[in-house]
Amino acid sequence: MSAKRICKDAILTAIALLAFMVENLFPPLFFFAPGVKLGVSNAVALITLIIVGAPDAFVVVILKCTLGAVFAGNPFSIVYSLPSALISLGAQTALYLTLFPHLSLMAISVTGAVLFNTVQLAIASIVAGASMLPLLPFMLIASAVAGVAVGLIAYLTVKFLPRSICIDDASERRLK
Amino acid sequence: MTSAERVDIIKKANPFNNLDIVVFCAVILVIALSVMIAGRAKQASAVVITTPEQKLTYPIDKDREVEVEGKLTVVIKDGKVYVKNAVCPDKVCEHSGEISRSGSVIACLPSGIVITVTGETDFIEVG
Repeated sequence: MSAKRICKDAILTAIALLAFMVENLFPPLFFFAPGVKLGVSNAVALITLIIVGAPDAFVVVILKCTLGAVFAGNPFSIVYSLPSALISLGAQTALYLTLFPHLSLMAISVTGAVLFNTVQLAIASIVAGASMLPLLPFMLIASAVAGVAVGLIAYLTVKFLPRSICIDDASERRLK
Repeated sequence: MTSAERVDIIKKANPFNNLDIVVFCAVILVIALSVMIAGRAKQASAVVITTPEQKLTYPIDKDREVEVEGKLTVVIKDGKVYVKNAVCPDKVCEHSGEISRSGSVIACLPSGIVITVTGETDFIEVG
């Protein structure tokens, strides 16, 4: 593992954490779906998956959830965020590695967002011991909108980021 | 396909592609399905407050304020339910606003408190 790769992971983790913290300061975007945010930090996870690699994306997400829960002053929230984030990222990674050129980043991101909020609602129902199924339609609509937006952010970022940052030039040199 | 080739595709090709329609249709289908399942709400009759320790039930047509374990106050007024004075950091429960229809939920996840409006023959089982 090269120093450059570790550096990229560290920077992306910092960006994800920053996005997460700043987003927490704003009032909820979707007033009808409690707890649903745009999830700009999910865009960072998706960007990590694309420009660094799948294992790195998982590292960034695990660190973001752990540190985010601590910094947000509510360590217990990791029970909700970490499993949903891992399942969501797992699905996105699988889709990206198998179907990617046929499936756009927006579609991958929507899948991730829908899974994230569904899993989170399921965990919340288990923890609280009361079914929150009635909230599901609102959560799904909000997460579909957020998913497209996040996918678009990731797409535009990778599109306009200099190519030398987006690819591991060491591996490309080896190929040539 | 290497990751560099994937990056080049993102940089050059169209943002959307042919399989996207499948995913978007699937999402719309799931949303429709969830609306159908969750939309079968009945006449609201009771407010159920579930906490990690206990389960409290109140009629929705009688105005009152209930303080729940020093964590938040549930206000029942004119057939509507809302939360005030929450001590949690995120205040999601307060921002949820008023609920009145059977099947609606306000959740305060940090303290594990869920407030549900239920009806006579509601599909939700609380407990």
